[in-house]
Amino acid sequence: MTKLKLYKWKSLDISPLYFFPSILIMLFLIAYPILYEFILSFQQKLKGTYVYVGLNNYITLLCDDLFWHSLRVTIIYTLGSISLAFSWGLILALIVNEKFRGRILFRTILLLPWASPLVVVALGFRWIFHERLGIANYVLKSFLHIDPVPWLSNETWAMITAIVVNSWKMAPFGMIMILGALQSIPQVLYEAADIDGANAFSKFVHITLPSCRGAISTVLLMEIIWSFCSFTVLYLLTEGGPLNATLVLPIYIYKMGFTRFDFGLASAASVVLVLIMSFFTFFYIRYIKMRGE
Amino acid sequence: MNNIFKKYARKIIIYLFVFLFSAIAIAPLLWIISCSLKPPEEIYAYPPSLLPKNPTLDNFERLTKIKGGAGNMLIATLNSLVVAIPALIICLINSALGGYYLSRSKSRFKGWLLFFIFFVQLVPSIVLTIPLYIWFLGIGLIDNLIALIIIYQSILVPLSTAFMKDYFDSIPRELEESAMVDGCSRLWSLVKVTLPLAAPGIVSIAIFAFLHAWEEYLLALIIIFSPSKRTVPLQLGGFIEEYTIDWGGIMAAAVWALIPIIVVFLFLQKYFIAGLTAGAVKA
Repeated sequence: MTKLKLYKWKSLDISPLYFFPSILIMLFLIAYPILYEFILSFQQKLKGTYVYVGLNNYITLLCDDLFWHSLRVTIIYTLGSISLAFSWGLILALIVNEKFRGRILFRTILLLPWASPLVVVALGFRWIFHERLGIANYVLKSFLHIDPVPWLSNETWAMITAIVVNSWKMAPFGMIMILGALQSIPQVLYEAADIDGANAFSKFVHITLPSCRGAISTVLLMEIIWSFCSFTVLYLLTEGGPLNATLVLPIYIYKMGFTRFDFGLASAASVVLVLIMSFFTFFYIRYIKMRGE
Repeated sequence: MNNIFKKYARKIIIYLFVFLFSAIAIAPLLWIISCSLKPPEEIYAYPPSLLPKNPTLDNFERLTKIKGGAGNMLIATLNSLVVAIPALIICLINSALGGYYLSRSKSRFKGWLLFFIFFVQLVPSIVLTIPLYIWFLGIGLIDNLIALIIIYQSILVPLSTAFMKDYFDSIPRELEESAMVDGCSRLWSLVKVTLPLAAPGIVSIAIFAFLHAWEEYLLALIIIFSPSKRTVPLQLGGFIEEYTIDWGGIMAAAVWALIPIIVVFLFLQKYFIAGLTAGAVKA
């Protein structure tokens, strides 16, 4: 064989064996569990063995007021979190995109919430928003003379607090993603707009936002998914309470599965969650495809 | 004159916003650190003092002295490392090989594989809890740290493989092809030529994998029961289940969990950010 032939033979294609371990992990630890969960959602445990019960679990689920309640709570929590976290992240990105002294330092500080572990965030804020001893109420009391706010013990306030905490954690992600997009906008566009006499607002709407569309849709999708599936923050901050006011779908699944050990019902709820996630993902992919063409 | 005024007003507004948002970002963390240094009588004192009047490391010391495993932060840290380091190594090997394949292969299934990875990345952990619990109960690995090493791959591998694919895409294939012309096998040329060039990507993945294993809570919660096998996040969560909540201990444990992350973040920020945006960067 000449060297050229050898080269061609060798570069024909790479062996699929390289991908084998990765695909094995994804099949066995993600795809197969979801399939198994789907099967489990049609089964119930009777005397130690799983028997087929048809749609019973789904019927139980759809008749369970707590399930509908948790779905409603999850939607409120998600909508609240993405509106707050997204606008927060957008403002941060616009600020950090400006030129000022100490930009790198401030960017680092602004990213800290995102780097902090969820467990630390949840417990830290649980202490900060402690009704009697927390610093939040103390600051409100001493500077603004506001009566103690029941941050975590009132149903409405607990939801608001959870949304704020979740957004505090997620906002820097939006910032870093949108900042990347902002920095790749050619300066020429703004100069051309200046010549045409555009004001700041119309420059923002017609140049800045359209240029960041890709980043914005990614940020929104990730924030929707994180909020919709968020467990740790709520579980450690409010434990789903008070009076189930912050009992989101993941906590519902956890409680059904691991305190009641009703795996059939919990699986049915998980299947519903996967379907909702697929729905968001489907629209995201369609949006990306639509823009690409 | 008017223009100069406008310019300064803009500067001032920007600084105002920067300081305000930075304060919001860092104040809760500083408060946690401040509280972790307060002795018990000061933590529960009202009005609270902004800085500890008699700073002490008592809270930290208490965390290391609790007998029997429950609440002992040293054991939890050891457990976390026992999980995080193998999880990191397995993830690196898998994602380097898998990402390399996805980047270089001309297979016609490649598009499907990429789509599969994208979808698999978005599967939330809560959905996996029940099947994985039943599964690991069946093979007797429940309440075992090995189970955590395996389970964490479900989150680490798809993200890191997609990340490494993008990274390998940016490395010209001519380099390894010339090594192969010189008689190198493909695997050897990957190890010798391509991987060293991909080192920044590998560092990002390593940080991402380590931090994920260090802070993961939900999957650890369903797999581990014994107090002596708790990882750091479980140990922190365990404080809440106690009858009387030891807030000084929690704050000290929170700082404990925070320190490695802050250190990595401050010194390796570039890789850190790349690792954390892994997977979310590209659809």
